Amino acid sequence: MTTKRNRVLKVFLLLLVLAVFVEGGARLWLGRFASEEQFARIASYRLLTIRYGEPPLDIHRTLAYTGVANVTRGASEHNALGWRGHSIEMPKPEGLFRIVAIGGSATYGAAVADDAEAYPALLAAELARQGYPQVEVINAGMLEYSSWETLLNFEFRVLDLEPDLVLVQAGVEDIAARLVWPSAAYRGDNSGYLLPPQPFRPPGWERSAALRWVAVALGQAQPYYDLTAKWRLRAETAYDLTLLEQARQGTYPAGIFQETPLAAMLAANLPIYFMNNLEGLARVAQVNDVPVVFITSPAYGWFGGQPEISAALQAALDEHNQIVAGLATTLDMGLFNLADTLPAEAAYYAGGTNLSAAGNAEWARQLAEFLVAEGWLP
Amino acid sequence: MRASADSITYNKGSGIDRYPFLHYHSAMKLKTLVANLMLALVSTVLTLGVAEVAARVYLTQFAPERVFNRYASLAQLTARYGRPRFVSHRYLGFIPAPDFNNGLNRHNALGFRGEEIAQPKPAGVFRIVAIGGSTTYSAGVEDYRLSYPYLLQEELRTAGYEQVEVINAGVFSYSSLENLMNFQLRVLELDPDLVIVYEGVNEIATRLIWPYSFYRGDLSGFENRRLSFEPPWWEHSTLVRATLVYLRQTEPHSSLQRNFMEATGAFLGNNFVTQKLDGSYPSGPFERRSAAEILATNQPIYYERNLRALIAIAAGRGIDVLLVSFVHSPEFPEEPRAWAEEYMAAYAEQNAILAALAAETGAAFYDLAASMPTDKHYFTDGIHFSAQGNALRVEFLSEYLIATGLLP
Repeated sequence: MTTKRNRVLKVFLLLLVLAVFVEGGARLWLGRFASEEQFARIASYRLLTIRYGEPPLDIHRTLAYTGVANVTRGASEHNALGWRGHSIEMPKPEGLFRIVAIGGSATYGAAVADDAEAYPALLAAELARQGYPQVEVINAGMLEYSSWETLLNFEFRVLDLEPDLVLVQAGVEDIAARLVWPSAAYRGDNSGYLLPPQPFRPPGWERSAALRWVAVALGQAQPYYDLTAKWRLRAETAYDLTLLEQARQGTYPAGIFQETPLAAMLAANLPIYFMNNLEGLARVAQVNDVPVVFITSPAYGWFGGQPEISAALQAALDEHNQIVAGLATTLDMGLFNLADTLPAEAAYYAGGTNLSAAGNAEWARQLAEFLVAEGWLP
Repeated sequence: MRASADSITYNKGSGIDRYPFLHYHSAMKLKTLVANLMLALVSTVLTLGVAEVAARVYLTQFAPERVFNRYASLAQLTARYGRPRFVSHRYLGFIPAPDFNNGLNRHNALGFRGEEIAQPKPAGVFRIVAIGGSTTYSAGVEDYRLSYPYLLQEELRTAGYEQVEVINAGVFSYSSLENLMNFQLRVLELDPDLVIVYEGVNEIATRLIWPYSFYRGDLSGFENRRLSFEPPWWEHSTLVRATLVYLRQTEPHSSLQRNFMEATGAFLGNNFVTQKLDGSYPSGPFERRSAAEILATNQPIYYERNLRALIAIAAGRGIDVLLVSFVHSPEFPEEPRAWAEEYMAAYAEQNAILAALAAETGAAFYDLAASMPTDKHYFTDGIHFSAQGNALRVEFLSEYLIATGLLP
């Protein structure tokens, strides 16, 4: 009897020690040896925020989220409106020419840590150098904003600033919004892609690095990849994260994409809402006497080893850029074709659609030239 | 239980030993006191228990629908309706729950009050979409077939416009911001031929904001989004809950602010209504600045801007817009928003903006406020229409639509 109990106890202790070792090993590997990408894939939300900090986002009544207001982190600052950069003077001072740049991660400058290296700040500096010191450029872009949020941002927040010119870049984030299946879930209110804001409570077992590793490896848990996940909880019908995971693991096409390849999904979910949103933005700008310059979105070096995926994504982005160009022409708005003019060189990019400091600088330089040459400035 | 244990302790004397100044007589007095207290406690608990049971039975079995909706707890509402009438929405805050079905009321699969609609719009159908707040949803009537968009469809079909379909896209508490958003995000994909916009009272609430720097185009100074709602402990008692709701110390669950949004400290609309009702107006924040002054400072600039945007987007797509002036009846003492002079002035001001916008943009304008009688029986509370009110409202509207040639 006692021997039997001892044996059970021994097995239990052995398992316990083993579990501790596995967990310890997983943590050690994750913390010390895993690459940045492996860490982003496996780490729990908590570990991610410990390493990178909470994303500088906060809940918003109308846009679901916007930037945290009044914070400074290193060389990055958010003003009272939660946007990247210094505080904004309201009402607009006499004689000031106010440009507001709106868009998603590229406008925000997701890949540059210093506010001064994002294109809106560089544009202001460039224009000041060229003899336009009265021009102010506000960065009202926000991480991961698609055309939906950009439209609402413009209508309900940017108009309050009395802009003299609005620079609009949209296209990249709207690709993910089309990766919704079944197609009936692809709707004008984006509800098939993103859920309403709700408390974000990662499951308790996430605290174990080993369990999280196993769950991610078995496809039972979604990698976070980026910390905006908390503010952009996906609907059950959204497949952008599934695609990202398959692209990174080289397992594409698997699961949903076996039946409906990426190109077929994009072909079923045409960018009608992207067009609606930007057309709406343009018309609202018109009746408020705000001139608009649309900017197309460049990309370079999407998932290098996955030609099928990168070709489909690039085709979707080209399609969006064509819509932007078409709207600019039919509605008589400005068009700055960055997708064509930014050289396809690795130095300008920070992976896919995000631009490096050099990319932002080149963007600002070209855009300043364009605005001056085309007579958009006073 | 604890009290009686103590009294036993005193009888044994051990309690007195520790407090030598306590004599036997004092202990006896204490015993009587404890007994009396116990009796009082027990009878109070019993009375409250009976009252609680009575409140529950009345509320769940006998109370009219409106009373039940106002005072019921979340659990009681869920027990009766199965699921909430509204669901959270990423941009709009909330929308009518799709496929909601309760007795005489229903929402279709797309989350609009009424019957299912065909998507895409069938050829030959002339689709009218009614946009607005609860006065479009037609909160005054339980039966969706008595709501104004449904009645309008019936009326027009009877008049020979059989290809006309009217969709109810009204949602409780929507102001011009949500109306514009609703139009862009949910209504445009219905491919409407004509939209009717009717709203006014909710906009005034968004303007009753102080300090004025909180009056913003994105409503962020008016209310915050609630991430979740944890019912407080007293949620379990019908009696406590009903008392608190009655005393306006808590919001009814039928109030959407309760479930999805939370007013900021700058929002003074509830103070205004409460003070007007109990006659204490102007007190508190209004002592320094009257509601009239606040409304004069917070001009309806967003109302105008949002409507102008809606009209521009519609025009760009060849969709006609009909703006309808907002009606109220001052016959309801319990609803200050239908008789307070500050609200009257704001209605007039907003209605004038509609007329001016129509003149400026070429949108149609119908002055329902001028033609609709304000007799009590046309309303349920001075703002929402009764079934009779909806019927008359629809008569005016259909006459106007037919006369102006807005229909094919």
